Amino acid sequence: MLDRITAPKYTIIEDIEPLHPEVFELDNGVKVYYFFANEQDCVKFDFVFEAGSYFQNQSYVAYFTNKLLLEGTAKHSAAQISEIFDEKGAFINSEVSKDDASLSFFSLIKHLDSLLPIVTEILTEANFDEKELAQKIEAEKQDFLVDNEKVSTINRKLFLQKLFGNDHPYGRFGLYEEFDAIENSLLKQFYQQHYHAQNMVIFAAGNITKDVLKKLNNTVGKAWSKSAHIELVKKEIPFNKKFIPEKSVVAKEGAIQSSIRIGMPTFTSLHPDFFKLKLLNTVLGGYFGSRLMMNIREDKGYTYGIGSGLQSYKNHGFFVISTEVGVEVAEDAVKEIFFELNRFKNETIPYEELSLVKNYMVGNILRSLDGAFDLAERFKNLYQFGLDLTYYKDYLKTIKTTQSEELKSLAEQYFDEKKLTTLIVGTKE
Amino acid sequence: MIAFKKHVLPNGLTVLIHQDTKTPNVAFNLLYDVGSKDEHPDKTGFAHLFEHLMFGGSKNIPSFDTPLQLVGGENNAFTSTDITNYYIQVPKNNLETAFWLESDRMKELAFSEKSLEVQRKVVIEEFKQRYLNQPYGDLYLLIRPLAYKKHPYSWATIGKKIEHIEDATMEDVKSFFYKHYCPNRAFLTVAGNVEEDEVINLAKKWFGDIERQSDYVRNLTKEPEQNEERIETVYRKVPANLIMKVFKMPSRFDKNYFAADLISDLLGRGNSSFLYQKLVKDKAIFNDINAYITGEVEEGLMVISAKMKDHIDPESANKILKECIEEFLELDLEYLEKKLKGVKNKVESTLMMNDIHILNRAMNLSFFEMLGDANKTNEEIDNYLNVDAKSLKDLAAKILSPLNSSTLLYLKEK
Repeated sequence: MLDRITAPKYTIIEDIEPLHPEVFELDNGVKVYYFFANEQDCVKFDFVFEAGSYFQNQSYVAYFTNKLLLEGTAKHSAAQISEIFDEKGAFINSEVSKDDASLSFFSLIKHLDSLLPIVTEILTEANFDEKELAQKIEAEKQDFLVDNEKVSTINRKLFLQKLFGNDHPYGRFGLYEEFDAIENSLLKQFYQQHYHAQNMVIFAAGNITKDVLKKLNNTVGKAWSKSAHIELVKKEIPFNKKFIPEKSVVAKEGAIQSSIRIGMPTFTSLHPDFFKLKLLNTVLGGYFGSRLMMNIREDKGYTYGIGSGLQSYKNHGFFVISTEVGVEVAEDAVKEIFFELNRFKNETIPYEELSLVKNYMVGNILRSLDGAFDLAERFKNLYQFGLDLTYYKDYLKTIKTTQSEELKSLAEQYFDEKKLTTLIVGTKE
Repeated sequence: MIAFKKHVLPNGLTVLIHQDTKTPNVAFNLLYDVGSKDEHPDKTGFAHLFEHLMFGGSKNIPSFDTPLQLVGGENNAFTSTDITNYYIQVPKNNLETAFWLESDRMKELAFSEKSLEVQRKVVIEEFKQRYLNQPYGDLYLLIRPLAYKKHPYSWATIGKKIEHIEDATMEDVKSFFYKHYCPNRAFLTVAGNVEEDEVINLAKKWFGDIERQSDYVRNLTKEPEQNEERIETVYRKVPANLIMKVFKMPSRFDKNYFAADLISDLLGRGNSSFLYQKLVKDKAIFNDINAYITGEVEEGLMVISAKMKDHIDPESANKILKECIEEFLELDLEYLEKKLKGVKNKVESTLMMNDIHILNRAMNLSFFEMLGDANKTNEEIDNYLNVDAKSLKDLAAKILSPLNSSTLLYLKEK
């Protein structure tokens, strides 16, 4: 008779040995970090620049500089660029964050000869055509209005402002009125200062053979080599505004759900408490069986989802609990969230629960390091901190060795109601 | 090329095995051949509500998620108009846990009142969060009943209205389970560093004693041929006017499915597409425009969706869009052939990207097996490459006819 009650035996890995990327230096000094995989005949390149909003002196400059890269060069118009990439079935995207800006390129190997020269052109000769810029600005303004109807967007922006202040790039968000102050001269200047060989790193994955590297070197590797050495624009922007935790409630007309964020500034991934706090955080709200999920979704049915996390930018980070709940239950949800936070200070996490979370986190690590493309993505995200994939080995070790008592002290320090700010956007009318 | 082996157990469960020795993880994908199209028009949203209930505990195992998390696994599920798909990812050594969990809930769900109460609330919150509290969130709740008058595609997976979910009873739920959740309606794919024997033995051990249910004869109400241009206008609290225009297209089983997909790519996939260049760049009446297909198994929809610039009135926007579609239908074969090469290359890249991750391979194998043959996944690329410009042009004339169109003008409240 089949025993369906007893769970099958299982094992959890004890340790991992993450792979390290190969490194290749291009003629112009740019480093390429790559992971090789030849199951498919394709490659992905991420060209990453220290050109995020951190470095701008005016709203949207970093953003539009990055977005306009694909909207025309000295030799090809925006339409021609789209045509060339679409025709070869390649994907090219630009993305900007607080700290970095990048161009992402995915292609079948067979098309690299025709596409790499255009990629190089985009990186070095973007021309910021006024008409294209005007169209982009108009589209962005419309998206801005749509996005700012969402309670979660309004909350996210206000929340970061509360944490880091409106003076600091991590807390500052552009206003609608500021779109009209964008001119292509500003973008051109930003482009000169931030998009060049000394400020770029390349991360790659796929069938990266010697031949592919040669093609890359003959195109991107020859870019900017004739220009004078450009001074890197390094900025250390202090965090001036003192963080004052408080409770704020913001109305939103017609909202049937409230967006809730509770949190505080913490630190970057380099902090000694980082891994342990991630472990504690997972128990709180980092997986489907978390304390927050079990209470606020599975027991009360207040929400479709609730979670908590640690976010690390290059120079600072924060802890946040976030959810969207029905407007009628927003205050109740906040009460329950603080109830769960306080439990960690008053009780130690039971052994079984902690083991389960540890096992789950180990499984997650295995899933995030699965294959060359995953590895390149993880490595790329660690690079700005001066870290490599050994991070995961250390992470796993901390997960395995940290005990409940230590997590209780950590909770006393970080889950302190007096230190956390609460923001509710969208209220019952 | 996704290599695989296939077995069918005596109770009708189809088991597919795909070996990949390079990954430490196994993808365990179980697809049930039931979607919102199988619901009764007065009891919609059930397939999706049911997906939630599947996590409420089974006869022998009170919690589905906890034992899986304990072995380092992860899981999720999704429901569409056609299928309900459950997937687990576990480290290779703990594969048996996936079999234990998934087979127990196929055999017998716990059916707790508390679980129904909670999940009802959760689904209602999901309805609000994703469809009612987002700008443009209810687009599909409006376009579907406009395009389909009789066919069950006329309602979205989330349901026609919240009340259907509020009124769902335990009896409704139980009868849905026994009708649709059985081994003969299920397609299991196990992909990873696994051996065929290993997987078959586990399948026989854990799923072998589950009884097959009577074969379900799918008798979907046929949608009458359209033959009329349909248009509807709604007003919502949104900052910009939007137009959505949909056309009925061939089913997955139709040889013209692939050409239809490519038509939507030519029209509006990416910045070099026809509608984007004409209407966003040249005529500059839209800020953005996209064309895509719903990818459904039965006769689904080809969708064109665009956000209007402030200066254009909705009627003119619709008129200009229609004229542009006429222009597309008049493109000469040589030009089409050239553009076709490009969209085919894009499909090739996309299919290749999809194969990178083991979970996607597992999902594809289950899906195509449900369609009749898992190997169809390996034929996809050729099916697209073989589309010729002439057939595509003829098909476009049929699909993109105004008499086959349903248009929604989704406008900002005054």
